[in-house]
Amino acid sequence: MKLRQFLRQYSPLLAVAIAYVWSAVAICSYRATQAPPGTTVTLRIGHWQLEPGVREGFDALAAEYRKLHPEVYIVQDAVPESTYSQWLTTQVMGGTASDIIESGGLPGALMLSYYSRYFLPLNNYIGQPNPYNAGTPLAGEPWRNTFKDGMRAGYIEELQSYMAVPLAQFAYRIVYNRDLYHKLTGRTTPPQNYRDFVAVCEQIRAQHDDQGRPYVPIAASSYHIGMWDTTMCEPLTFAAVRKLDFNRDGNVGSDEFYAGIRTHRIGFDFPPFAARFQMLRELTPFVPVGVTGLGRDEAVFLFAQQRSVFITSGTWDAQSLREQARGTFAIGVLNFPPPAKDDPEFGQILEGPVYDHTTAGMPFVITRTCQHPDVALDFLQFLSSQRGNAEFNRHIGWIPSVRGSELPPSLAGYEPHFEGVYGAMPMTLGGDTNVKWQQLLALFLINQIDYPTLTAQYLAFYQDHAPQEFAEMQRNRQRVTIREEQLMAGLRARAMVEDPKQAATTWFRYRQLETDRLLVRDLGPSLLAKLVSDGPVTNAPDPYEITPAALANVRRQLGGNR
Amino acid sequence: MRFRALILAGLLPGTLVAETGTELLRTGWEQFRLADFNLAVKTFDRDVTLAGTNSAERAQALYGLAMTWALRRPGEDPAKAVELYRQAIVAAPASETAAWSLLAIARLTHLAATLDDTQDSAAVRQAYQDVIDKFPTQPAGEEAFLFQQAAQLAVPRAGTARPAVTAVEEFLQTHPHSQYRRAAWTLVAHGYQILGEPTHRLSALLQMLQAAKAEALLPVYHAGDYWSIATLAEFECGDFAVAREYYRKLIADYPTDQRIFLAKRELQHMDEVEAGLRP
Repeated sequence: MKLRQFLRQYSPLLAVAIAYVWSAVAICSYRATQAPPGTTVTLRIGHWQLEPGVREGFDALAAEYRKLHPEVYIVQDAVPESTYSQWLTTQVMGGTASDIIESGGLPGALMLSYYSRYFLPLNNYIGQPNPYNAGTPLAGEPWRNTFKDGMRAGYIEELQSYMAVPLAQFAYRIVYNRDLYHKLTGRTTPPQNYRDFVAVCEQIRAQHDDQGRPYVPIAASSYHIGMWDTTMCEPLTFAAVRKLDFNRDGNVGSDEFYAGIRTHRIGFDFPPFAARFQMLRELTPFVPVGVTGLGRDEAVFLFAQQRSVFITSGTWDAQSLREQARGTFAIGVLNFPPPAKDDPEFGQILEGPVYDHTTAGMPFVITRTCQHPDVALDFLQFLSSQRGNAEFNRHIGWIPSVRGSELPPSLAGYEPHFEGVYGAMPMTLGGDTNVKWQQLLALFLINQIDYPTLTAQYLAFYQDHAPQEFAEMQRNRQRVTIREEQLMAGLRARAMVEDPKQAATTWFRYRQLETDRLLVRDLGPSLLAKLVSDGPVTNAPDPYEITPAALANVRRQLGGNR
Repeated sequence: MRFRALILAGLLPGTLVAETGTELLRTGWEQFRLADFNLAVKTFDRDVTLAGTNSAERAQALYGLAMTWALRRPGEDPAKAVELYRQAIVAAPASETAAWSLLAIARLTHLAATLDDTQDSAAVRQAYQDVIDKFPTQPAGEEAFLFQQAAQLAVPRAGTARPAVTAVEEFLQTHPHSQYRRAAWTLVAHGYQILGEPTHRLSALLQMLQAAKAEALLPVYHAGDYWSIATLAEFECGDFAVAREYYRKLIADYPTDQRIFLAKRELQHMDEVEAGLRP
């Protein structure tokens, strides 16, 4: 065949082939030029953390690691959060994912399938000591136990597997402008309790800046107001656990709340419920007008422009707030001030300090396409060693996830509290009740309706719509059965073909999941459904009330011990 | 022409590579796990053809094909799945695959009944009984028994809970080495909850925990188990010794658990109750 004829006939295919070869050479040579001489292993680590300090933290720890392992070069693939989920999806599906990836950014069910398909389980390693803890108080301890949360954040319940290494913890606190606070109140010590906090807010609110604008004590928005409610007001409802936690798991679920309302065991006049909204009402004069219509950046702007003294912040934002204030004003951090024990309204209602729902976060996984999974694992162990994790988080200004790792000085005040009370008022059950609640709450927050009106209107709607939503909840539970059966079938088939040693572990995981997710799953909910269908009761014992028979038994045992 | 053929051949994965039954089985299940059900059907189909008259391989291939037709969404075909399960059983009647196939038929029957809101129907009970009768010592047979009893317990009535509890307790007596003892004790505990017998329920939960620890091949979280035992012991049984033991275990083993504050309060509360009862 003549050359010209060949080229004419196959030119489209040749063009594609040339473009492909050129791209491949370009990518390979680009990646090769990044790696310094002597590199035999290049690890890529992908994440969305573009906050100040994170990339610097990874670079610093990578440099430290390279001193120990000169043949290993670590490169970051830092991707904007807004596009991370698309990037993650295309990378894992295309088989070109980074070796180590921060997992997240996708809906739960999808993330679960990604864990199963694309990431390596860590079960075989978490029971062994982290070698990089040698010479520290954590030496010899199983890697899992060296995390503050026991590596819970890296454990995927549905897969019964440890999949991720969490590198930081997060908490909410109040950040305040110390200079403005001193200027407007004359004080250097922050408010010590709730009444003190309200008093300084009143004092701040009464003053005007040099343009005649009143100061807004608390910079807040629709994003921030939830933090105030969750961390300061909702813990007042903790006593509801004793009345509504029917399955006694320590929490009040939305279905349990419904059962309590439906059977008249509780109402919105329950004093702790009313107290929550009383406190929220007392705080709303100190936030910007129309707070529910404001975006996060508007609140940050108010704070940065020194028109507000207080703002809530998660630790992930702490560094950027410090950057905004740098050179202009000094920042302080304080806990959400609780009511004192002798507080006339709330002292007897708040039962203890507030529990910090801080699980370790920033979870990183090893992808199945990683060419050097042992090196990737080693680097993650380095990052999650006591020294490594402290150093890493010192760069970022976040809370270390590893026990005994020193908190960066900038995070003094963010130490998590792991003993305390939490909210127990999940009053929405489905879409309709959620929408209605948000509508009424927004009116309450801008002082258009009071608590009796809020609850009366909501209760009427709730009693009308919640029964259908409760029934839908039961049906949803049935709908996911097929997905559970699929998961079990896949796991069972894997165990049937594996070699006996590996199969034993797989069979164990299979039985655990089969039991919890299929065999006994409906038993607890069926008891709650019966409680609801039995209807209203009077003088029913609370779940956390010692029964007469139990008390008699205690008496008997004490009598026997005399 | 030859060049074109070579290019096309190269673009078709697997056409130039011989496939074994084992490879097809693994590939089929991988496709199933990835929810690529159309591909899984094709792969298992090829495996059935390749297996020919080899009974064990044929049964495994048919089982995979049946499972795909049963559980794929959309496009499920339960009737076809049942037919394929039965073919798998005929291919290797005494095999592990046959046992799982018969259980799969029972599960399909149960799922259909659940959607009709007739959880504990006679057909469901009989479907599980078929598995129990034919494969009493296989894991599939034990699972069938437990699912059968769980169906009895799913509607909380004393009339059905009592025989279920009795049956499972007998199972535990006669199957001392079963790998499902944790599951069985969980059912017993639930049964006693329906019957309003907290002392027996507590005993069952303690046995469940013991079995769970004996069976564990991977680390398992027991914070919820400790909490359930402690609170049941305190509030319904009046067994403060057990309550204290398990509140303390929770505090020691899971110091950041959300329930630590409550656990410490209850330890104090029990001291106060006892102080109030002493002369």
